[in-house]
Amino acid sequence: MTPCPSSEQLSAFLDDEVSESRAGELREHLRICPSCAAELEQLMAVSQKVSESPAPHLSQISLHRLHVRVDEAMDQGLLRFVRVFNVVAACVLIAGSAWLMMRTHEARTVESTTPAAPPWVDVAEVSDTPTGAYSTPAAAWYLADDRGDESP
Amino acid sequence: MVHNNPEADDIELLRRAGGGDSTAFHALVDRHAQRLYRLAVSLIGNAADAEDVLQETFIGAHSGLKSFQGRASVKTWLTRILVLQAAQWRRSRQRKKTRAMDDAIPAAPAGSEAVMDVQAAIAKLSPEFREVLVLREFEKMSYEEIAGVLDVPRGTVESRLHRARGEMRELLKVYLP
Repeated sequence: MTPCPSSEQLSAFLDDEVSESRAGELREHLRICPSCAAELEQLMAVSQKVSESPAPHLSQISLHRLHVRVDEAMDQGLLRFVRVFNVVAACVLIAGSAWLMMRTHEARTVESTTPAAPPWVDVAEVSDTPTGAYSTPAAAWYLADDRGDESP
Repeated sequence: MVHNNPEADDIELLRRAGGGDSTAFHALVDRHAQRLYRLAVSLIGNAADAEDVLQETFIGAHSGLKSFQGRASVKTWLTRILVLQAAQWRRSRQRKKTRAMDDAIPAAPAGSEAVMDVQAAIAKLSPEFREVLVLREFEKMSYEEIAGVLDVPRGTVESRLHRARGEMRELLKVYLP
């Protein structure tokens, strides 16, 4: 006769959780060992008692409550998304505004620090480089006449 | 929908729920609520708290829809969430109990084991033993599946289950042949 298996092995055998070869050995042993057979019978009785105990039933009201709670959680998820979206949008807006303000400030600073051209530069440009109405032939003749030139 | 294969149905419902179909998620709730409720009552020990844990389980499942990768069945996935929620509930209750002084809870009267029913006997087990026992006896899960749900080695499941049955045998001895 093979040595008696441990109670743990009998429990696994009961659950069909031992290899086929080991199950064969155990079946053979159980056939000739009343002590192990009694042990297995006790384990089977416990297992049967537990698995056949009446199952608690979830009432229709409880099931309804469960669905309502799930719906609330779904809505909260949506609200959370909207909130996150709002926060992101606000951040983008603030960052954009700050960037624009900085750009405006920089432009003003450059404007104020650039030295202004002396007043005669403009005068010289106007007199030396006639533009607009003065660039027409009539204007050229007039200016030439005014300066005392003989030809434009 | 294919009704011959519940797992395929579950995965289809889960896929639709992940795409924002709330009806599909409610259908999933209907399919698994009773089974998970039984587990919750066994793990928690009372109906009111079991209902709360069940609600948290489905809320957790909904927020984790995208994380389901299909490595385990939907049934195993939901069961795992329930077991984790039950463990969290136990921890929070433990904190409350510690604050409210443990010794204020009256001890069970002597001889109460004699009239103990199966649920009460299960409640007497340690959480680790209770988990493996209910997953095996109620859910008929294999040792591998239980190991996956509890995130423990298969050998641990075998050992815990054997010891849980040993304790149950003692607690229910008056009912056994």
